[in-house]
Amino acid sequence: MLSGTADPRIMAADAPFVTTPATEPLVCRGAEVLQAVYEVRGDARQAVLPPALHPVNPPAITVTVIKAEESDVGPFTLAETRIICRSGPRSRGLHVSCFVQGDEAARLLAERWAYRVRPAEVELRRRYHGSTAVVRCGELRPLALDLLDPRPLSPADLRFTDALQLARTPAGIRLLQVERAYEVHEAGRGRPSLTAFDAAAWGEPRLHPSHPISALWATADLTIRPVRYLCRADVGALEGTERIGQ
Amino acid sequence: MKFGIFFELSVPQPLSRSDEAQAYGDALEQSRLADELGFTTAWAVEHHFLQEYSHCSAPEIFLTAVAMSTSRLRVGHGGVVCVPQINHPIRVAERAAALDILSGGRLDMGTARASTITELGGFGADPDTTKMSWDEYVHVLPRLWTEERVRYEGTTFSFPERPVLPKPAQDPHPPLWVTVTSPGTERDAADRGIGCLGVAAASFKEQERRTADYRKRIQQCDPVGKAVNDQVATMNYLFCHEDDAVATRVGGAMFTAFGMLNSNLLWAREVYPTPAYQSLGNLAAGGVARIRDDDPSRQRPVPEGVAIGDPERIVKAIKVWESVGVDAINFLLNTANLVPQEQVLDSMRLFAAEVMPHFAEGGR
Repeated sequence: MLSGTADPRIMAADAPFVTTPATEPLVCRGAEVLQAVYEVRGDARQAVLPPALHPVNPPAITVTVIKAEESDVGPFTLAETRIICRSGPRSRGLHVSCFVQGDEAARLLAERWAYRVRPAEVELRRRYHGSTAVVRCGELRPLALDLLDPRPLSPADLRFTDALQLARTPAGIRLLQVERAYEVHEAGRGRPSLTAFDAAAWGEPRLHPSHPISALWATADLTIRPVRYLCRADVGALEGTERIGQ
Repeated sequence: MKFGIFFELSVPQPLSRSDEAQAYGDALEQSRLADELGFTTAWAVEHHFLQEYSHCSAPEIFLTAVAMSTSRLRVGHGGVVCVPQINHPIRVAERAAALDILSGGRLDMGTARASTITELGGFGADPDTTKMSWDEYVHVLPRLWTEERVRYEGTTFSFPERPVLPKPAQDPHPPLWVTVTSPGTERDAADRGIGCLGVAAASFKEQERRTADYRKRIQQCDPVGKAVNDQVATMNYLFCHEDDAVATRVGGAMFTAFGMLNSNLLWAREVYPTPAYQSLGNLAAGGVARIRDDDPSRQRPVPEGVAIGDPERIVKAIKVWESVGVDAINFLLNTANLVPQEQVLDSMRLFAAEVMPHFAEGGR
């Protein structure tokens, strides 16, 4: 089975330093979510993952935009890219980075959950004919994503995956398992259209979206849970998983 | 109880052509031995693009080779992906009929709909409609095999009147099966009068519930074919050795490796929100998760019911499957060439000598 080949020390060079992982949840009520899944070119599928993680076939990323107007830290908007992967047998997404509009949320997400936060103007708009997300960061436009031809789905048809986020910690380099729970009120699926994705701006220039898979939108109460697990980045999950507090 | 073997034709990475050739060659040799030992059927899956997990993309070719080198072993074409973008229904009927003729009427016909976005996306198939297309296939295939000329206008495919040739050797036609992964598919099978080809590792209790439900419903079935197939088969792993510790070590590694490869597939359910896929695909992560969560110092690395162990342990496990109403068990014999071929063959011989005689049909 293939594993990642990236050097965790190099990957973690600019990762957040997390002294104490989150012990309290961050609750966002009535958040709007737009998420697209794209296949990416396969030539770097192992090179973008640490040895702890395994690539999927075909390699793919999720791009998620969340507009949280009512949260424990005030309103914020977040756009995130993850690489779909496996930790042992489990489905996970390796957090690449995120753009956040909202200073307090940005600080908390970086310090407690190891989000690689970049300040930006993040816009998510839902219209009758679909949803649109744009990220502007100075002169850069790291993301322009549309969901077209929306059709309603049952909330039960949606499936979200937990993330692993690389951090420098007092114990060394670790992947924090970040669990986002969604209580979905309304959901749908559409056709994704990615008109801008500046991979270098996201911090991983080897990600080249090549083929659309799906796009979903939802309104949901979203909870970013306290961190329960840390994983070493240099060995597999069966060997390198640590439960916090044990 | 009948015993079959089941091929994914997994190949280790990094890929080499010699490893692929070895996987195919080993599987053919295992089939010949299975024929001699009294196994009933050799099943071969159909998968596309699933690097390492399954290199069995042209099972009808492989099964033709199996049929040509065996005399009694049935060949299980299971499951053919019943999605028009992957296999046109007429081509499915033609190939199956040819295989049935060449095998001397030894074909069992499995049907499936694929559950990874790797496969569905690779052919541009719409995950929302695969259940619908599968349903149309199972209704049309028996007609293509038994009616001189067939015309069909459906939702996922249509074709004008044609004489589809050849017709199969078996009269009226080969037994039809459906691979059962998602809970509820056993009901679809029962309602249509076709066999349940289980490829998911259900617990004893779950299998008992599903089998009872199937037996009850099939009494009221509206058969899609000219004959009802009311058999329930499950999938299992086989590594039999006199020394239970050796069996556990070698077979456990195979079991774990297969579960890990399976969990690395990119399931439609995971990346394409749809009501058409309510569960992940076969085997999912359950078996492996159990291993991880158990204390390795106290537990065997294979769950209850898996046919890995010494003959006594395997007999006990199969007795339980028998008691819950299962008619046949199909065994996966290796994963990615992990177990040396001689050990696989020895395991099959020991199973035939020490386990098969405990069961009524002794495999055949």
